[in-house]
Order: sequence, then C-alpha cells, then structure tokens
Amino acid sequence: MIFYLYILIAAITAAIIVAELFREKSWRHQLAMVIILIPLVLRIFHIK
Amino acid sequence: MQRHHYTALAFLFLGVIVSAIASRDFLSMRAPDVLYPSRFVTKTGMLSGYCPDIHGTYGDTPVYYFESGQPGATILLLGGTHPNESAGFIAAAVLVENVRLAKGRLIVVPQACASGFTATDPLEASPMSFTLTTRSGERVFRSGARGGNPIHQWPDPLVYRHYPSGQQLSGMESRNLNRSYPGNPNGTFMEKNGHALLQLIKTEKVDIAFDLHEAAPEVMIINAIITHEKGSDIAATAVLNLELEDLKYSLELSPKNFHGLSHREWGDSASVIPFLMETSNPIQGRLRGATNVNLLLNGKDKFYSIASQLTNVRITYEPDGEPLSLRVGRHLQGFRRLIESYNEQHPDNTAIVENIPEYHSVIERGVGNFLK
Amino acid sequence: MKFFRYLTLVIALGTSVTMLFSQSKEKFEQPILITSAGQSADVTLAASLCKKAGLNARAINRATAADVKDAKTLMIVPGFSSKGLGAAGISREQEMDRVKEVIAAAVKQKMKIFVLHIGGKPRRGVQSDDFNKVCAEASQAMIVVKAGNEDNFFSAIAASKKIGITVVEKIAEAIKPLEAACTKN
Repeated sequence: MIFYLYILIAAITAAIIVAELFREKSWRHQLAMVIILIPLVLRIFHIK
Repeated sequence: MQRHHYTALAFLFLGVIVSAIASRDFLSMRAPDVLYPSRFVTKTGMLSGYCPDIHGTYGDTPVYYFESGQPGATILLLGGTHPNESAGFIAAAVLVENVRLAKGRLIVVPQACASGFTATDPLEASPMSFTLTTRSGERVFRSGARGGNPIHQWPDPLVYRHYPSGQQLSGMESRNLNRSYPGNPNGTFMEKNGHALLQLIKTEKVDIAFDLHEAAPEVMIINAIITHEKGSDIAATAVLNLELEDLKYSLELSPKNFHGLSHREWGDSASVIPFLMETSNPIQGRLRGATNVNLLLNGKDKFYSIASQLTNVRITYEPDGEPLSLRVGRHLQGFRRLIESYNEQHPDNTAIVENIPEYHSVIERGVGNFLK
Repeated sequence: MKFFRYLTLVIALGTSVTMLFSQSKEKFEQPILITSAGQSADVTLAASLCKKAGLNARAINRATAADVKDAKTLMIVPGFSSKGLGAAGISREQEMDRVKEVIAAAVKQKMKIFVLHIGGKPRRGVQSDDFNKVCAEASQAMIVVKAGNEDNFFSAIAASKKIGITVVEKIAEAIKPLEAACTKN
C-alpha cells in the first residue's frame, strides 16, 4: 500500500515540476528541472 | 507560445531521450541469466513452489535438484544471496553445470535474491554484468546489488524491525535477504523471499546448508566459515583439513542475538546445520580505486596492494589480487571439505557429491572452463 | 636502527633457546580444561586438536573459576571475536574479567597454564592483543601458529618471561608438540 502511495507522491511531484518547467523563464533552471524529473519518471514507471 | 515554452519543450524532449537510453540499460538487467544444467540435474523447479505468494514476482527464482536415488543426506547451497558478491553465484552455477550425486540429494539455488540481480547499488559504480570465456564461448552474467531492487520493495523504513525478534537495523537492511530469515509469509517482499527459502529447507528436510558470500578485504570475517553452534565440530574439522591444503579459514560462531541471518535462523528454525562462507572481494571494499569489470574479475587493486604491505592495516588481500577464479575455487573447496567433514561425523546419513572442480584446477584453468 | 637489529637477534636467539630447552621441560597433566579468551571459535579447533592428540580435554568457552577445580591444566585459546562475544552475549570487558578470574583461580590452585594461539593474523591486533598478552604472560608454555607471531609478539613475551614457546607453520602441526607437552613419558 505504502509503495503505491509513494509512487503517487512521485507522480504528483513530477507533474508539479512539468508545470513549473513551462512557467520558468531561465533555461538554466529549466535544464535543472528536467534533470530532477528523470529519476522521478524512472521510478513512476518502475524502471529504476 | 512564448520563447521559454519552446525551450521547455526542447528540454523535455531531451529528458525523454536520456530517460529512454537509461531505461534501456536498466531494463537490460531484467533479462535472466541462462544456466546450462548438468545432465545429472533430475528436476528443476521454482522457489514459489514453497511459497505461492512469490509466484510471478522477482522473488521467484530457479531451484535445481540433483537426486542420486540412494538414501542419504540432503544438501542445500545458495548463491546470490547478495547479488554483488559474484563468487557465490558463479560457484553455484559451476555446481549446477558440473556435479553429479552418488548418494543423497543436492539442491542448488544459484540466485537466491533474484530481485537484487535486476539493479546495482547506487553511487558504487558497480558493473551491471561481466563476461566469462567458457567452454562454449563468451557468456554474460549479471552482477547486482547487495539487497533487493527498491522497485520491488519501496520505500525503505528509517529503521528496519526484524520479524519476529523486533531487532532494529538500518532501514536499507529491510531489503537484505540475509537479514530477513526466518521470514514472514504475510510480510514484505523480502520477508516472503526469506520465508520461501526456509520453507524449502523444512519441506525438503535439508540436513546441511550453505550460503555463499563475499566481503571487502578489510572486513574481519574474510575467508571465514561461520556456523551455528551445532555445526562447530564439522566446521573445525573442515578448517583443519583446508589448512593442510594451504587454504586458511577462520572459524566463527553465529551470534545468538544477531537475528535474520541464515547461519542463525536456519539453524534455530529447522534441523538443518547451516554454514556461511566468505571470500575477499576488493570491488566491495572502501579502499578500492577504479571500479570496473576488470576489478570484479581479476580482483587486483593498487590501493589494496599498498594497504596489504602496511603493518598497521589488517586486510585479507593476496599479493596477486583476489581473482574470481580463486574466490570461486575457495567456495567449492570449502563446500567439498565441509561435506566430507559432515559425512565423517554422520556416517549413517551421508551424501556424496562427485565432480566438484578442484581448487587448484579452477585457479589454473580459470572458472570459465568449468562452465558450459 | 642497529639497536633494533640487535634486539630482534636477541629475541630470536632467546626464542630458539627456550624452544629447545623448555619444550621438553614442562609437562602438563590431564585432564585439561580448554577455555577461550576473547570468545573466538578457535576453542572448537583446539578441542579438535586435543582429540586428535588423544588428550583428555574438555572445552568450556566461558569457563569460570569453579570449572577450574576439576582440571589439572588450563589451556587458554586467546583471540577476540566480535561474533563470538555476540554469541555469548557478553561485552569485551566482561570477558576480560572472566579470563583474569579463571587465570587467578588456576594460579591459586598451582595449576599449569598452556596457551594455544592458532587463529593467526585474524586473532591479533588491537582487539585481540590484550587477551593475548594477559594469557601469554600467565602461561608456562605456548604453541603459536606462525602467522600470529610474525612481529614476534609471543616470542618477545616468551623470551622476557622465560616461557617455552613452539611456533608452528600450520594449525594441524600443533598436534605433535601438544601431545609431547601433555603426555607423560
């Protein structure tokens, strides 16, 4: 149960980061956001 | 659409490409290792046969049975309890592909923690696989993590409470198979895995069991045989006989109050006499330099060479390194001598395992020559 | 530098001389009580060696002063093992107190003490050497596996306290000197 709760938390965090990515104007910050996004995506899809 | 939206899309696209490349690598670790069992393997099953709950999960793993047809002792050998300790897995694979039983039974589980073979430990730079030149050509084997893959059991608790003792350990130990025994059929993924292995021991009425490990050269229990108190006489005789062949082992007794380990819980929960063996593996050590397949296979590290020459540092490291062939050879020779010692002390219930590769042959010819 | 060379030479000479003369001098009567100092499982190996040597010996890992009464020789197998202490459920300090108490009881009973250090390097170092020293200094004879005496730790104690010492290459080689020391001619 807690496993899926954590996946949900990861998914919500990823969604927030994607939303922020499109609001962010600095490309440096955008790049940092995408780097943060990768491990979250890999975990949400049960890859790593 | 504004300019920063385009850059966001471009970076997102880049992120997708990087994720895809990384995913391909990570997913490649899920392809199972292929073993070619000896024609003397009489049956192949799955661990889920002893705990249906793990069927279809990454806790399930192949079990190989050698049955002589002659009544005698039943032996169990586990490799891959810690998938980053490759000598244990390869020694088990060598047995599966070579031995035959003249008396009694042998059960081999080469990858006891199957989940751990699907990932490596973060921040360790550990190789995901290694290649051995075998009799049929090159074969690739996986080298995984110490514990199970977090994908299969997440998150780690801050503190792991062992079932049923309540002993507290670091949270990451909750994914360590060798802290999970006796296991719990209603517990976590790893507790179910531990439960399944103990059910195997009970169902098959195993008399003598082996759990093959490796550790960093600086660990105190290197080249040791660790046993439950009921195996101390057998281990003592084996240690003396191994020493006559210039194979030094220290004998260690399993602490009664350290729970979750195979050498404690198997012995406490069943009639089996358990033994755990350790070899020295520099790729697991803190002093190591470049961490790569070469170090995994040749076990040669310049920093351990320097450390081994210092008088005030106590490590177990051979001047020519600790190659995989030597580590596998030690496991096989230890296995052989412990069985002989068991037979000596239990003449009415013996087991005879033939064609176990000799220690010196494994070193001279290379472990690959003992794999199909 | 020269001083150390001379010192090593003197220790080595002293050791050889004591090995030659004191080995045959000391005789250890049976029954033998084998106990650990540091709770290493080497006690089991020692019991196995005594069995092979045909000696009347009984191993009690955590022997107390009361156990000493039934024996004529106390054989101590020193060497620290964290797993062993864990198995016994005691601390290092408690173990040291017990060892000192057993030695005192043996001395009080005018019993001979024999040290058998067979664990090699793993039973040396900071954790083990306190036990090694206490036992070696209280003994009348020692059998030590060479790997545990590469720095002449035991040889130096033997030379300074005039204790007989036999250094063997392998554990199994301890059987003969053990037999010689504990069997009446």
